[in-house]
Amino acid sequence: MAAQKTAVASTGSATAATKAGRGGGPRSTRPGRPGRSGPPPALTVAGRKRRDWLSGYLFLAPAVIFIAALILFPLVKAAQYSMQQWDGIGIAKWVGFSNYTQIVTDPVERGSVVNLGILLIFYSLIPTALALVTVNLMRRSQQRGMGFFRVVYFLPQTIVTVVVAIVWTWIMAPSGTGTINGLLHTVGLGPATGTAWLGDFNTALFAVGFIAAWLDFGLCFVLLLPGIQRIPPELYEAARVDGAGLIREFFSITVPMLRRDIGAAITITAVGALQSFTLIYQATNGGPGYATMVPGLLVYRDAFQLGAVGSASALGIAMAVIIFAITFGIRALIERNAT
Amino acid sequence: MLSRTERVICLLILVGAAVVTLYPMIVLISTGLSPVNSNSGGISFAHPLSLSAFRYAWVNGDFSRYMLNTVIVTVSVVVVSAVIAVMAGYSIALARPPGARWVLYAAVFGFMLPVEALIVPWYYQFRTVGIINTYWSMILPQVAQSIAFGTFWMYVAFRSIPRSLSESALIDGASPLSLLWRILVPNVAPAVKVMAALVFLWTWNSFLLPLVMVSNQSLYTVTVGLSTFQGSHFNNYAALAAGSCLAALPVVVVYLLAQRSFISGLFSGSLVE
Repeated sequence: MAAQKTAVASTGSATAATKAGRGGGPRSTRPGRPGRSGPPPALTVAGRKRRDWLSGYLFLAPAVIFIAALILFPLVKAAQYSMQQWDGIGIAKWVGFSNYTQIVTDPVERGSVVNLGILLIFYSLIPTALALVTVNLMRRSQQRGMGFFRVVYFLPQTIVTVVVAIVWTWIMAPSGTGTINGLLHTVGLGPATGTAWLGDFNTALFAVGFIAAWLDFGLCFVLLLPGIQRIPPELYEAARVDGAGLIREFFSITVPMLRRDIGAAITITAVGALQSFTLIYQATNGGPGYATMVPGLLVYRDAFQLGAVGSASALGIAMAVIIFAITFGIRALIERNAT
Repeated sequence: MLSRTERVICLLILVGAAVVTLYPMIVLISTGLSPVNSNSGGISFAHPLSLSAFRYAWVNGDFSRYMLNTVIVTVSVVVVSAVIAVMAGYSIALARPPGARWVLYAAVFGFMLPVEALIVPWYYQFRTVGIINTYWSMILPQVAQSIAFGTFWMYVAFRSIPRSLSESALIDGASPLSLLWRILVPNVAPAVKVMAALVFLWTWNSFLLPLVMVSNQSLYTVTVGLSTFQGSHFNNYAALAAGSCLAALPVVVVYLLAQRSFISGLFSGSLVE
């Protein structure tokens, strides 16, 4: 991937150079540019630099305004709300850090964080592991049609999440043609009406997790595939000469060589897991009871249905902190093992 | 080399995974093509083919309106954020006025923040300004987040262009604006396309933001519209499947057209590398 990019960049700059060369001469003859004919007055190096800086700031200004007004300022407001008790209408009351301690003490909030932890396994670790095994198989068998499988496996990532949730609630229905239970029944492995996978306290969280794994498998596959293609085949040949089997080769060559790619896959999918609002809102709405409740859903429910703006903001900030912790934690882990 | 059986097992695993991946999509398409009022039993494979469910979703289900709204929001976000991110990325990578680096850090930071952390203040900010229940309330936050992503993205792209090129063009008398749009942008066109495709995907798919910002049904985007439609038509499987297909189709088409760059785009999107 990196090689491809550099190639694009180098051919690109060559064409740019010729264009710049052409543009230099007959510039003044171009119509419709009043006041810009002829070369500009000679500037000192310092003067030119100052002028370039000025245009640099002008180019930067719109981005700065948007980021400041719609990301940094709201973040400060969220931090402020998170220290208050406020229903969104009346007068806010200062409550210090109690909205944060509530994340641990309140059973529903704590439960949502625990659920998130379990879902992280399904969103992140399981698809990464499955993808790792699959790319290893592909490499070993020198399978053709890699491009086809890559396109297919990645498709779930491009399906609108609400649609994913709707179709999986059908497939996981207690009975009916084409459902998991229906398929099991057809092959004689279950009753005509089986478990309501998404409606049963014991299975709902794992059912959501299954959908998550289905979603993220292709993403992990696509993230790991280029990495395994970079590993020199001689390494595997040497291992085979030394008598290493499939398992041995997997753990002593594939995994260590793909360390960074695995880290990237786990990070991207884990961060995605924190933003599981849409899938869960649509598939279970946190239920049954609070069996599939996650922090993202609580932010929505607290702020916009229960009028608890403070605790919603505290949860939102906590989610941001978790995202940063995961990202930098995994990064630190990989860098430390690399040396 | 490998034995024949091993090779076959391998292929079976790969094909099996592909079947599991594709099954829900087959369910949707097949059910969506069943006659609209005959199906209240769930997933349907054996039925006469009919487009009546699509017609029903488009006309009676207001999906035409939802799709239009989504196109308005998505196109606005993609175009505005792309222009602004290209300018910012150029400035940080090539013009480099003092302090520009800080904008880069702020952008990366902003890109990593989840919508959930900002949705509450956005709502109250917009309520104060009076733009709740307008396109603005859906467009502005996503423009900001896309700029945060795009600024980093375009910074990486422009960094690959030698600085001497942009400086010599400026000495030759090109205005910074024409330097950027006529000379530099054509060089990073692939990166701009990937950025646009990713922002398109994220914006089309966004759900929490329109759900919170808009309660007027005539402004619903297709994700919120579909969710509401599911509430009122949970028994009309054909119409629901057809509506789902409509909602999903544009992104799938963009993906299949641009899948190569789309996938490679994910790598640089990962800030860990």
